[in-house]
Amino acid sequence: MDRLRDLKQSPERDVANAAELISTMRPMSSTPSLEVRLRERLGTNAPVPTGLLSQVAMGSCVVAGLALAGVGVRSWLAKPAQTLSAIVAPVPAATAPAAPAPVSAPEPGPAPAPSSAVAVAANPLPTPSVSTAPKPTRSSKHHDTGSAGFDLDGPDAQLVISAVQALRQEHDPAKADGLLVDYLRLHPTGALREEVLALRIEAAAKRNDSQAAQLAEQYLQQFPTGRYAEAARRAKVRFAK
Amino acid sequence: MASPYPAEQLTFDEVYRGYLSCILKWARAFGGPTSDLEDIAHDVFLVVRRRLGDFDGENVRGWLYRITGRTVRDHRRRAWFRKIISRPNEAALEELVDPGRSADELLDERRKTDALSRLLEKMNAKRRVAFILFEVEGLSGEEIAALEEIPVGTVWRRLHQARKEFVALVTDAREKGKI
Repeated sequence: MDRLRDLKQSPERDVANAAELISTMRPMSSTPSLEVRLRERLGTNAPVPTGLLSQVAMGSCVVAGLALAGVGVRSWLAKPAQTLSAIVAPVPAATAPAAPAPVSAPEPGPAPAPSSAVAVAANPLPTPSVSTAPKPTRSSKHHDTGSAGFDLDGPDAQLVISAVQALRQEHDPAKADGLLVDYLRLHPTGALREEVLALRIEAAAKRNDSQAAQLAEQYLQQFPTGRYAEAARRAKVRFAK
Repeated sequence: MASPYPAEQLTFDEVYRGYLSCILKWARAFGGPTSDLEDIAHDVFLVVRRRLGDFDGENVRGWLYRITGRTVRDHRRRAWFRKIISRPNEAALEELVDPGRSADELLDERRKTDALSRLLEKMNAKRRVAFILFEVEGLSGEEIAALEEIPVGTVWRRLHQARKEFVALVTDAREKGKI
């Protein structure tokens, strides 16, 4: 079988165009600097991988979340959401824009780096339509890695989505924290552990609960170089007794 | 492709030296964002370090390939949540810094890369993996079959379908002026 990238001179215009485009993607290769950098990280980095294999063994993934991420099933909250970063910002948080423009659904892509986290997060919260999501119909056994898009399936993801909804849409941090605690109880090595802990800090901060400091300490112990470490440090200071 | 090291003697260091490039290739084929491949490789090697002692040594490449697939999947899920939890950030700095090329060239390439990524993202995931490994990384059908632990015929079928799918997507995108 010929490779498409070798068919740039194809008389079929569509094929030639496709060949031209795919040939712009270069083969991936490591670099000496990456190898050194990664080796250093592996030598010194503490966080334990987040339950990748146990997740697979856990099975029973459902597709409700996938539907949430799918076309036409999501709705978006028109209100601005305050993130952990904003809540524990070192300066009094400014007010969020009154009418943020709707944004498109987050696409799988480069994960955001740790937020510098001073500005108020005015990004509208994508509010998955939890109640209207189609019922789960597949198990992990039939997990369709063949479908386009990415995985948001699984009861663990559902719990976190519900928690975010409670925290940012319903403004019910107590309910959110309950869901997040459920997540940690049910999925102690879950892949979203770091995010859950960050959300717990946010929930405690919204309640003005000094537990935020303990949670921040817990976060920093588990994820000393984590994405929300800076915000956790500020929470620790702000809610310290 | 044969393992460069006898499985029963594998050490972490040998896995690292022998397979880092493969893991990067696989991670991208699985849909890992280019800017996150280092993080993904890092997570893969953390799993490797933890699990190497239990590994039966049968098929190192297949074992690493599966770990990479799961790691990318988890990484993408976390990325989605991070976008909810915190503000999305700018493109990776490394992508912006390339003094050897003009801003126009960089912008043009960035547009093409983005367009290509969007198209690939629309493809059936299994077909996309085979497609990228074959078309971009230059693996043979037999190598892909060994990694996926599927018959070669299945790989060819996926590649055939993937090519049709990709050509159709490109054609559609061109007609709509998206590329």
